[in-house]
Amino acid sequence: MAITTLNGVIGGLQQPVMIIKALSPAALGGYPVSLWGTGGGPAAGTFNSSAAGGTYTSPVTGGIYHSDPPGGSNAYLARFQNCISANAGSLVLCDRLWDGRPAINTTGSQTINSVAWPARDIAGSTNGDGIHIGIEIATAASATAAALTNYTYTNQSGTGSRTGNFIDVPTAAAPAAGRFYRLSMQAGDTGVQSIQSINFSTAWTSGTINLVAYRVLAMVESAGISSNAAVDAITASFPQIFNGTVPFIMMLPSATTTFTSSFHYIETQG
Amino acid sequence: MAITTLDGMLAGAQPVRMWAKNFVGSAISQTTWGQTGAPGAGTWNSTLNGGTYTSPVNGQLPHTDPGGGNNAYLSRAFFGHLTGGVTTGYALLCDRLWDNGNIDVTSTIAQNITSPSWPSRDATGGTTGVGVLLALDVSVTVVGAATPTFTVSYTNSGGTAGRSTTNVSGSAAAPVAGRTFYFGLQAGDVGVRSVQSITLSNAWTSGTINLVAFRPLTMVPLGVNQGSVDCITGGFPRLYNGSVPFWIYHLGTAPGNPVYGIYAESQG
Repeated sequence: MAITTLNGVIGGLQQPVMIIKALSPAALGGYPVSLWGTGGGPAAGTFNSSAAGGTYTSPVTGGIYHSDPPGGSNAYLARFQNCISANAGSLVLCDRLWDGRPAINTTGSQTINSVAWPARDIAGSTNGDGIHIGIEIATAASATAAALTNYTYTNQSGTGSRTGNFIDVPTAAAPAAGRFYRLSMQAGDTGVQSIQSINFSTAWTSGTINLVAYRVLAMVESAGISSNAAVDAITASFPQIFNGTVPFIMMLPSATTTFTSSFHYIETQG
Repeated sequence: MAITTLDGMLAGAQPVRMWAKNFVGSAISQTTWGQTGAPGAGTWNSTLNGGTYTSPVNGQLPHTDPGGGNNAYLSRAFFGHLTGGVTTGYALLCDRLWDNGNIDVTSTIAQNITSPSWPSRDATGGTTGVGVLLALDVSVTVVGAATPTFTVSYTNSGGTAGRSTTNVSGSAAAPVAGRTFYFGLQAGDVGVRSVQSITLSNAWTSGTINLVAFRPLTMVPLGVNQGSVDCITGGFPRLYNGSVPFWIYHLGTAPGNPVYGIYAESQG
C-alpha cells in the first residue's frame, strides 16, 4: 500500500510527537551537532562500542518515537517543526542506521568492516544508496586538529576501495560531545553500503568517537532566535519512513551558543 | 504523462537526497561543480568544442530518469551555508548541458568554438536553446592582475548566428577555482543554441577557464544563510531525461564552512 493523495495523508495522520532537548556545552557555530546523545525527550541515545558496530532498528533509546504501520501499510513524514531558543541554523531530520567506534587516538589504518545496514536506504534496501557517513563525538575529545588520510568504503553499487575525507574539517579547539563531522564520497558515488577502514593522519588524544551511517529525511531552516519553521507532506516532498526507522535530529548552528530546541514530529501512515 | 495535481506530486515523490560540498573562499558567484564532498567533484571538458552532459555524471546531484514515459519535476530543494554570522544571497539550481576547455587565458584573439548540439533539455525539451544561458567557470585558479571582459559569439535559439554577449558578472583579477561569471544575451534573444568563439580583452598569465551552457531550474532565496523551495514555491520545474543538476550560488559573505542541502523530485 502507499499514500498517493492528500486525502490519504489526512486519513493516515498519527499522533504528534514532541521532542525537547537542551544542548550544553555550546554547539560551535558552523559545525553540525547531533542531538542523539543529548538528554531530554526522548532520552539520550547510547553508542555502539566496537569497530564493526551495530545497527539501529526502532524502538531505540534516543530515537524519536516511531511505530511501524500495520498490515503492509507505509509511513511518511507529515510534519516536522522546530523552534530553537538561542540560535539560527538548519535542522536535519535523519534516520540512524548504524554506528561503530574506532579508536580515537590511533594513526594508521584501523579495520572497521561494518555489519550490513538495515534495509532502509532511499529504496528501502541494504545497498546503501543515499546513505551518508559522519564522525560523531561521543565524549568530548582533546584539543587536536584531527586529520584523515581517508576512510574506505564500498559504494551503493557494491564497488569497494572507495575513499572519502572530512567535509567539516576539525579545528584545534576541543570538540564537545555531539559535534558531527560529515564525510565525503568519491566522485560518482551516491551512497555507502559498508565501511572497511578509517585512517587518521593526525588523531585526537582523548575522548571517544563513533562513525555513523545515516539517511537524511528532511531539512528545515531556523531563521533566528526562537523563530519557528516547519515542513509538511507537500513542502518536505513526502519522504517515506521505512519500517524500523530511528529518527534523530542534527543541527547546523550559525553561532556558538547553548540552546534549547523543541520539535514536533508527525507521521502519516497508510 | 504529466503531474498536474498535488495528489500526483505526492504519489510520485522520490527519495530526498542530501548533498554537502566544500566551499571556495569567495562570496560572489561560484559553482558546486568542481567542489569535493558528497557527491564528489565533477570535471570539465578539455577541448574548445567541448562536450555535452547527460546524467549520470560525476559532480551532479543525483537524478534518475523516470521510466514508462513519465516526467520528472523538482519538488524540494534546500541550500544552506554557515558563516558564523548572518548573510544573504541566492542559490540557482541548474541543469548542466555543456562545457568546454582549452581556452588560452594568455590570448586576446578570438578563439573559435564549434559546440555540439545541446541535449534535448532546453526550456521546451528541445535542442534550439530556449532558456539556455552561458557562464564561465574558473576550474584552475587564475594568475594575473588583469580583469578581462569576455566576449562570446553565439547563435541564438531562433537560429540567428553572429550574436554577441559579454560577461554580466564583473571580471576579477586572479579569480580562484570555483568562481563563475554569468553572461547576458543580445537584445531580443531568449537563449543560446550554440557557441562560435570567445575573446578575452586582456590576458592572464595562467589558469583554466571553461564556458558552460546551462538551464536555470529554480532560484532559492537565502534569507539567513539558508533557504528552500518546494513544489509550489520552486515553480515545479520539469527535469528532462538526462538532466544534470548542479548549483551556482552567490552569497553576501564568503562561507566559512561547507555548503549543503537536500534535493528531491517527483515523477509521474
